[in-house]
Amino acid sequence: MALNYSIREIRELSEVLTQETQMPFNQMSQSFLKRRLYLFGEKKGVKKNEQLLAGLKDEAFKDDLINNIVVPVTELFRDPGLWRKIREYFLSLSDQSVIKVWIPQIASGEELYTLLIVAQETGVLDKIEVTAGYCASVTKELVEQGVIFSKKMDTNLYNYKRYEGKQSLEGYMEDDEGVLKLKSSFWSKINFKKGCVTISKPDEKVDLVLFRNVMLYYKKDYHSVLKEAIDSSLKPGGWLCIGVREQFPTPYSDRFECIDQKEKVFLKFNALTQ
Amino acid sequence: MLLKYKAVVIGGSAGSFSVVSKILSQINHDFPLPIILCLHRLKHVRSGLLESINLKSKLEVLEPHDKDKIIPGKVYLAPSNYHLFIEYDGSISLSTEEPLNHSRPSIDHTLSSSAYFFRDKLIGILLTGANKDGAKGMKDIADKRGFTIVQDPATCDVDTMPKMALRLMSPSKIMSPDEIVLYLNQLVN
Repeated sequence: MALNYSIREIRELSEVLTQETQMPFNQMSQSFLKRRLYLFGEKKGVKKNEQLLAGLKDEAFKDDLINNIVVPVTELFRDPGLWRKIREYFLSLSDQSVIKVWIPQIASGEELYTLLIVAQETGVLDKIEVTAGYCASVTKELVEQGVIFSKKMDTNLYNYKRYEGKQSLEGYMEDDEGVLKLKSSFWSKINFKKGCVTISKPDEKVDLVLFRNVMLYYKKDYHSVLKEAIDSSLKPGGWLCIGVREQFPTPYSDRFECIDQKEKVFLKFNALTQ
Repeated sequence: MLLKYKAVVIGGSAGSFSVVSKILSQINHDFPLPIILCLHRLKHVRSGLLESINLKSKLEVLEPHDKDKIIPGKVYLAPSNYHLFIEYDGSISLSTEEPLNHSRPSIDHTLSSSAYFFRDKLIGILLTGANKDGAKGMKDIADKRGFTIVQDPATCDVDTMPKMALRLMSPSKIMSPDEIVLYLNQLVN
């Protein structure tokens, strides 16, 4: 039997986890946290709460726990229509010397790799500077390796086709002793910052924030905090992308305008107060 | 109106589109419960299914957003490439977590989380389909004393899913699609 907490136990444990890890576990949706802890327990053979709490004294265990709580991005070019939109946006920014992007909470490489391929195809790869927030060191190491899971390739290829990519998707990958990886030539100007969304903020304001399918896992009350962190990091005129079934905290009309309802793209106003 | 149940949850896979269309086209237009619908669907095709079901349905069918509140009389279809859960406060919770039973949305996830929230106030219906997804969810509903209906395998396009459920639990009823419609409509009458 793996870890199976009651709602009350989850509430109490989330406070302990927050204190021990500096991650906002106490702001996560409780049913989500319960599921993730159950799966973690099953995977790692953690059967009792005492085992979990004792493990928190070990940094590697803690890191592994966080890595297993955050949810990886599902595939390359998820929602191809959104990436076509970003391609247009990058073209409109091609006169800038630098295009800054923030991915506040990275849990796997797909979103970052897709971004780099789109930048390459629009001729702005050398201008792209990405700040990627990560919660666990294991996550960062996996993302840095550029590993692409071959079992997802059918979906990746289908998405890329619908994105209307210029080349073959495999052309961006190389075989590294049997492991499929993003070519190392793409690997430039990526600044990894440890910490959750509110901590991983970039040093300077950015043109684009990719924050897709992360708010799903946080309580609704916490969304306003996340919105504030994004708002303060995005340039006026910059774009925010959230998941297609997510909702941005209302009212957003004071700061943002939804410019694509289907793909959930928001434009930050060029307000005089900025 | 006092009703014994507070929600209906339906899971289906291969062949279930026509059954769902039949149910929603023949259900009373004033059916008072929310219906939560989890159908296996292509994860990279976001549009089409909702529109097709809506064309036939007497009730409004929606693809919910994360954290949406559930409203009686509406039908909530799990969006493509997202799991649909019922959160502890009764709202809808979407997720991109790993596929379960090779499926996202997974019927087990929707059924089990619905069982956890609605307990004995839930009607769970499992339709035709080609894998084992939904069997455990139906068992969870039965364990919480909800009312469970499995489509009669003899009326299924693909009977694997109902048969897998029948191996795991004893449903309150085994019914044909026509009988399911009659049953739901008599809840109001």
